[in-house]
Amino acid sequence: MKTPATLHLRVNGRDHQVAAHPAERLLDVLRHHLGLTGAKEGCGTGQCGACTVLMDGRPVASCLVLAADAIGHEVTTIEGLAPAGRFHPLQEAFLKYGAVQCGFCTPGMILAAKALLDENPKPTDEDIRRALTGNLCRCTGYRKILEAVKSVTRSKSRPVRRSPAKPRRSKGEGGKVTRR
Amino acid sequence: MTYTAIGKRIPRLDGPEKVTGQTQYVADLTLPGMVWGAILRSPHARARIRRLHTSKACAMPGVLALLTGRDFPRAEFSGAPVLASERVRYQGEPVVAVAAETYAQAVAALARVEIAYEVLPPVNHVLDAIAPAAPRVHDVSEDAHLPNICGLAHRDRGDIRAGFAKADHIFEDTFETQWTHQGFVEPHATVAAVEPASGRLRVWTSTQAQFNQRAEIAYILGLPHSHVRVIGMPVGGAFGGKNALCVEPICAELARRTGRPVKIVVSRRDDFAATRGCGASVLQLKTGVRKDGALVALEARLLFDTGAYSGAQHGIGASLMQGPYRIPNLAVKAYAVYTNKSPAGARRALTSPHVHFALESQLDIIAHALKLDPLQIRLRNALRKGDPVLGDMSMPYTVAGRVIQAAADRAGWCHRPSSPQTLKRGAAAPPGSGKVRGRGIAAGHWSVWAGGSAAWVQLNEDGTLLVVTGAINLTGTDTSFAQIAAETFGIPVERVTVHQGDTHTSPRNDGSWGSRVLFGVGEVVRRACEDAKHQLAEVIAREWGIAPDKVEVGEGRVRSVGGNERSMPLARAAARAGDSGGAIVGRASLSELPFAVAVAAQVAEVEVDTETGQWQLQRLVCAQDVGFAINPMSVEGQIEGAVSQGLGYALCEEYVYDGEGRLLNPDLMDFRMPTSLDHPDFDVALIEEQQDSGPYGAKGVGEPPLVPTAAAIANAIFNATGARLRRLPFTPERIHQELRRVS
Repeated sequence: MKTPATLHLRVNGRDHQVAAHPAERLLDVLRHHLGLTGAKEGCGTGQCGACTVLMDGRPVASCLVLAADAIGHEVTTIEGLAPAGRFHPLQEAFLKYGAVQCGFCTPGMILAAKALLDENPKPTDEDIRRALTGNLCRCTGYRKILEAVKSVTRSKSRPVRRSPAKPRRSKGEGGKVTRR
Repeated sequence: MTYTAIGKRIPRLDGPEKVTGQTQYVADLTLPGMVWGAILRSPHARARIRRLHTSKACAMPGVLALLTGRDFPRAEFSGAPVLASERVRYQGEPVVAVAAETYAQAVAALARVEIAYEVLPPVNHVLDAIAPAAPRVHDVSEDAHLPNICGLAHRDRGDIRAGFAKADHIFEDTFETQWTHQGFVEPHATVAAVEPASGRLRVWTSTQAQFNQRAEIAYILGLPHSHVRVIGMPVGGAFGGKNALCVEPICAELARRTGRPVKIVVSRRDDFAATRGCGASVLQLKTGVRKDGALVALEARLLFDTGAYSGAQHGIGASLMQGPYRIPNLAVKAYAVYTNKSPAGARRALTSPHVHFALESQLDIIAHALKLDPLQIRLRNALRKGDPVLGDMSMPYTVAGRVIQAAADRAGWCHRPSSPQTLKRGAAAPPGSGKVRGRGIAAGHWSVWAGGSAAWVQLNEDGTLLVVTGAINLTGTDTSFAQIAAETFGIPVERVTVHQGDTHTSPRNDGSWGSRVLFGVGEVVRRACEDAKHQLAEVIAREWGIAPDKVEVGEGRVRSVGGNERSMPLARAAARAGDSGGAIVGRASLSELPFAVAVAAQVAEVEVDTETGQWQLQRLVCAQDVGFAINPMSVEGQIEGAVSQGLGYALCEEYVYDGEGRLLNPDLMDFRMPTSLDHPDFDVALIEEQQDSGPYGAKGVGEPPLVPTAAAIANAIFNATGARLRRLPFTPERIHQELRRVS
C-alpha cells in the first residue's frame, strides 16, 4: 500500500476524489477517508453484514469490495439514505417498532432492507427473512426488524429518496454473503 | 393506577442517531495524532516461553513503543497477566504489544518478534483437568483432592441423606454444555490518550462497566482513580462479554509510552479465540422424587470450565441449581476448573442457563418415567412465598406457578404424559416425510440485585429535567429512566434529557449486568426526582410562607394544597429556586434493594427431520414475571433477544477445539449464530405483579428469558422423537446418533 492513487468515487450522490491505494477496501475508504462511519466492521470477512452499503442499489459487504471496484458505481451509505434531518420510511419504522437495540447492525440492516424493497416492493415474510440472512443481529431476535420492514411494505408512503440507479446485476461483485 | 409516562411503548431515545449511522462507537473515533496498537498472541494453548527478542521488532519502521510482560508488574484482578512472560496458558494469550504509526506497521513489527516456545501438552476438558495425572494449568489447586481447581462453592440445605431416604425414585443424569461466545457484533475496541499537561489518562472503550474498568486500569498501572478517566462509549452488543477488562490496560500503557492517542480494535478472530467467552460445564445431578412427583432431594456436582484464569461463575450456578422449585434437601458442590482455554467470562444470565438446562431436562426425564405431565410436575414443585431460594434466602412472593401456567395456557398445552409422538402436520409434512413435531416446557429463575447505583437530577430553569447516571445504556435503560423521571415529576417525557456520563462526569455505578440497571439505577432516578421535588417544594413553601408538606409538584406546576390555593408553572418555580438558594439538584444513591426473583417459563414447538437430525423451532411461547414493564416494547425486545440467544445456544453455537487446545472455528461462518431464517414467531406474555422494590414495582428482565430456552427445546425434541439430548448444542449429528441409539 505504498502508492496512493486518486480514486473518483460517487458516494451518496456526490463525486469524491480520494487519495487512496486502489487495493484499499471500500469500507476503509468510506470510514477513514470520507468520514462515513455509519458502515461498521464486525468481522472483515463478509460474514456479519454490519458493513453493508449499496452499490447501484444492490447490497454489498463493503469489507469485501476494493475501493477501485467501486469506481463508476453509485455507492449509497446509511448517511445518504435520507436528507439531513429527515428519515427514510425504513428508518422511521425501525424506530417505531423497536427494531433498534445496540444499533451496530442497524445501518447495514436498513440498507439491505432498502435494496429488497426497491427490487420487490411487496415481499412476503419469507422474502424479507431471506433478504436479511447476511445481516446478523444479536440483540433483537429479528422479530421487530421483520415487523418494521413489513410495515413499510404496507404503508402507502414512498421513500423520501429513490434509489439512485436501477439495480445492475453484472457489476459490483462484492460478495454479499447469504446463508443457507 | 393510571400512569402518564411509564408503561408506554416509547421508541428508544438514542434511536434516531442509530438509524442514521451517527452513533460513534469506539472504532469510529479518530483523535489527532492517533496511532495504532496491535498484539502478538500465543499460538499455543500451553507452553513455556524459552526466548523472547524484540530488538528487530523495535527497529521496524513506524514503531513507537513495544511492551512485554515485564512492563506490567501487576496482573488483572482475575490473576491473569496483562502480557504473559514465562508461561502461556491458552491460545490467544497476549505476549507482546506494539504501537506504530499505522496498523500495517504495527502488524509488520509483530512479525519480527523472535519468540521460542517449548510446547507442552494442554488440558482441554474439565473431566480431564480433575484427573490425578492431569497437566497443571497453575501450580496450585484450591482443592486438596482435585488438581486444577480455581474455586469451590457449596449450597447445602436440610439433610440430603434423609431426603433421599424419603424418595420413591432416584434419578442420576449427567449433562454437558459447550463453550460459546456472547455473539456481540461489535468487536472489543479501545482508544487511550494521555492529557499532555497533566499526564492523566483517558480511555474510551466498549464496556459494560466503566467504573470497574477505571479501578482495574488504575490498579494495574499504579495510578490513583482520579487520574484515570474511562469514557464508556455506545456499545455494539455485549451480553456479559464486555464486563471484564480486555485490551484497555495495554492500550493505556501504549498511550503513556508514546504520548500519542492509541487505538486497538480486536479482530473478530481474536475476539473469538482470546476474549472471555462463556465456559463449558459438566453437570452431574442426583435427584430424589416421591411417586407423586414431589422433589425431596437434589445432590449435584457442577464442574464449570473457567479456562486459564478465574472467571467462571460457579457460585451463581450453585445458588440457582434448584431452579424455580422448592427442594427441601439440597447438596450442591460447584467447582470452577482450570483448563488451557481462553479465560471464561460472563454471558447473559451467567451460569443459570447451564444449570437450568440440566435440571429442566431431568425434570422431563422424571415426568416421563413416572408418567406425569411435565407441566404438572413443575406446578407441583413451583416455589412459593417463603420457600428457601439462593441458598438460604426467602422467596419474596408466590409467582412461579402462575408464570409456568401462563406459558402453558398460552401455548395451548394439553395435559398428557411426555411420550414421544408424531403430530400430524398436514400438507407441509405428509406422512412419510420423516418429519415429526413435538412440544416441550421449561422454566427458569434469576435473582436481580440492585448493586451500587447513583443518579443526579437537575431541574433546569425552564422546568425541564436533566438526569445524569454513570450506567452504561445497553438495553434502552436511558429511555426508561426518562419515563421514570417524567412520571415522578409529572412532566412529559420530551422534557427530560438523560445523560450517560463518564467516570469524571457522573456518579459511580456498578456495571450494566445481571439485569440490575433498570431495577437499581431506575430506582435511584426515581428517588433523585423525589429529592429534587422536595427541595423545590421547600423553596416555594418558604416564599409562600407555608409548610413544605403543603406544597405539591406535579402536572407541570407547583401548587399549594389544603385551602388558600396557590399555583405556579414549574418553569417559573425552577427559575425562582435558582435565584434563592441555587439550582435544584436531586440526588440518590443506594448499594442494595430487597432482591427480586424473576421467573420465566417457555413452551417450545420443534419440527425434527428424523432422517437428517435437523430441526427447526416452529414456535416459542414465553411468559415472564417482569414486575412492571416501564417500557413494554423495550421489555419485549429484551425477551425476544434473549430467547434468540437461547435458540443459538441450543441450535448451533459451539467452540470446537483440536487436541492441542486450538480453536478451530473462530469466525462467524463456522461459529454459527441464528439468522433471520432460524427464528420462529415468538409469543411473549408479560406478567406484571408490581411486587418488587424497583421503580414502580419493576425488576430486571434481560437475563431470565435465556435461562429456560435450551431445556424447553431439548424437551420438545424428546417429545417429538424420543431422543434425549444431554449435551448442548443439539447438532444434527448428536440427534441422529441419539435417534439410532433409541431405535
